[in-house]
Amino acid sequence: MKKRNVALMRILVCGLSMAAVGCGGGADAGAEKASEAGSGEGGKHVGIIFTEAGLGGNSFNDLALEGVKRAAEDFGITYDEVEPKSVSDEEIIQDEMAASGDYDLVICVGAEQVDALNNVAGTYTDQKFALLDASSDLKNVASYACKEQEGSFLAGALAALANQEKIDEKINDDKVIGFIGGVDNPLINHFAAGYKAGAEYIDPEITVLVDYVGGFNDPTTAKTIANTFIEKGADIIFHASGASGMGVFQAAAEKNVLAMGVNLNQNSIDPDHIMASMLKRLDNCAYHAIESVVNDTYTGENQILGLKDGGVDCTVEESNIQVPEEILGQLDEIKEKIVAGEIEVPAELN
Amino acid sequence: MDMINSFIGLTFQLSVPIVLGALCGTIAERGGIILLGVEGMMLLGAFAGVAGSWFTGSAFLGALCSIAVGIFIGWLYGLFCLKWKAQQSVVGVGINLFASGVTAVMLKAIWEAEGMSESVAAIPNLTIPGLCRLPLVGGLFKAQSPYLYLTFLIVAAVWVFFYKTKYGVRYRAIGDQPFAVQSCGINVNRYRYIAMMVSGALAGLAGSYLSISQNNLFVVDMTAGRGFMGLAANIFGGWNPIGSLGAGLVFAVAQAARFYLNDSAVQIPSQIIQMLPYVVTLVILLIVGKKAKGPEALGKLVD
Repeated sequence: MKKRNVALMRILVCGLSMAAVGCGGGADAGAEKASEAGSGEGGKHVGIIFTEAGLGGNSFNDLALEGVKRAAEDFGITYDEVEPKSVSDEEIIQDEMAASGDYDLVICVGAEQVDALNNVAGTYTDQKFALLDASSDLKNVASYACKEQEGSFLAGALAALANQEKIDEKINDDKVIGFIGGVDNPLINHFAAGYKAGAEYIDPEITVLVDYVGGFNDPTTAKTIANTFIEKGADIIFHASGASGMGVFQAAAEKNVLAMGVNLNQNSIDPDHIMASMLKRLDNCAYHAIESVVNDTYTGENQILGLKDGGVDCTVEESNIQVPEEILGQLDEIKEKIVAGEIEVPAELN
Repeated sequence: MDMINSFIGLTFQLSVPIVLGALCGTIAERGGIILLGVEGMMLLGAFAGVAGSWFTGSAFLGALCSIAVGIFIGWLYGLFCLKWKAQQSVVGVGINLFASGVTAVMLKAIWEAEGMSESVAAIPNLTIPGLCRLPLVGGLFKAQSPYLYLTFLIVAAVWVFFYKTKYGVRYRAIGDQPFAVQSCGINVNRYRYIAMMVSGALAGLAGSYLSISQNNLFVVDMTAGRGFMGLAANIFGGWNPIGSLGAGLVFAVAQAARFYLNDSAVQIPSQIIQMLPYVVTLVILLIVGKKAKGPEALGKLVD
């Protein structure tokens, strides 16, 4: 058994180094440079393990890597990145990284790593871990979550403002906007509650239609919901429903109304109909985690980043819908008020 | 008035995959083969449609791909059940699991993507001028998929085949008394193979309706239980093509109601509303299930 483990690790080490070599000159050279810069001040060494989905395709993984790269520039750290080939590999990689003792921090992305990480982090209690977009109560795992409701509040405020000012010819006279969630659960209701509160903050009279698809991979039902919303006069529809949301975008394109994306900047999927996206800034989460290790403030507590810490945001970039400066200015004001605590954003639908 | 119109339109739009799924069940089970794999065959069809549309750039060719894949899977299903005599329910469940897994893998292989494919060319909806202004039924002709009309044609064709042709009589007899039919010198398994392939083709078509007519992309597990609902509709409809159509429409009404109940005066929890189509399915099966009599030789093989 032991022999097998050693052999396995050897294979893994080979695999890891090959992955590091193979992962492209750019990133690697960057890491090397950073290491030279950081060597004088005893720079930290960080490992990041992505989800099975891997890099590419504008996913959370790419976002997290961006944060790590930025931290590498700012703090002179070095890093290794691993794209697991399968979910079952994740535990082995975590174990391997923790066992090596080379890493000051191991960052794991996504809820699919939680179970594995609970095992591994329980074994290597001295190793510091950061878990992005999921939560674990272990003392040596700093979990990062985002205050979705605050980003959604901005999205709702933007929708209501756009509806009021009729910034685009796709907006009708009805004061109706919509929200489509994947399932009716507390997480999705963070989005719904924030969006609704944001819209009502701008215009108390506005009607926010809320419905749930019943799953994250049923675009057909999502599209039908969007169509019935549009029939009821909705002209801006925000979704928090994963792949089901593609149905919302299709309905928006066919019926010529506006939609809003979620989590990542989805504006480029259909720039003529998607006017904004609410963002979960996993890059800032990764950056924050590394910063805490560099500054020796790492505690392993669960972190929930809101607008204040740059954990969430709302962007109109890459969309062809022109949002007037005036409205963007108002949004910035709202953002400041949320950061200052003047606006309290509810996390639950009332 | 407008609302009734669009409600009817939506009902028919939602009924297409269920009716086609029910027909798959009717066709296969009337000949004595238990078909639990409709969901999986639909999913494979949905994927093939998007892949075909992606590689050829034509949604029409994509739909043909769906049908081709459906025929192939139907043949495979027949091979397992008839030649290798596998337990038919197990084959069905196996196909469902296989479809879910293989489409996720292929998604990664073709688009390097997790969860959903890229957008592809889709089959445009039809609006028939004039007819779309009709009161009550205008919704049937407004922005409907060509699949809707095709579905009606298929139902009619299956009915004519079953009840008006010599081969249909033979085929129905196979479902009840396969040995008797065999003793008349008819190749029972040939009929069954063909039925499985037709069944697969319809499942593939139903899948492509979801992926390249209702949508323009593939999402993992996008059939979301519609195949199973179709199977239930088949039983509710009494293993009869017209019955399948009727039952499919009943389920579609329950589904469509879900979208309109949402903001009615009475606040109904969203979970209950989402449950509605499934509850209706269960209740109807409970009432009809006992009376409905399936083909007698369901699951019986001949050599």
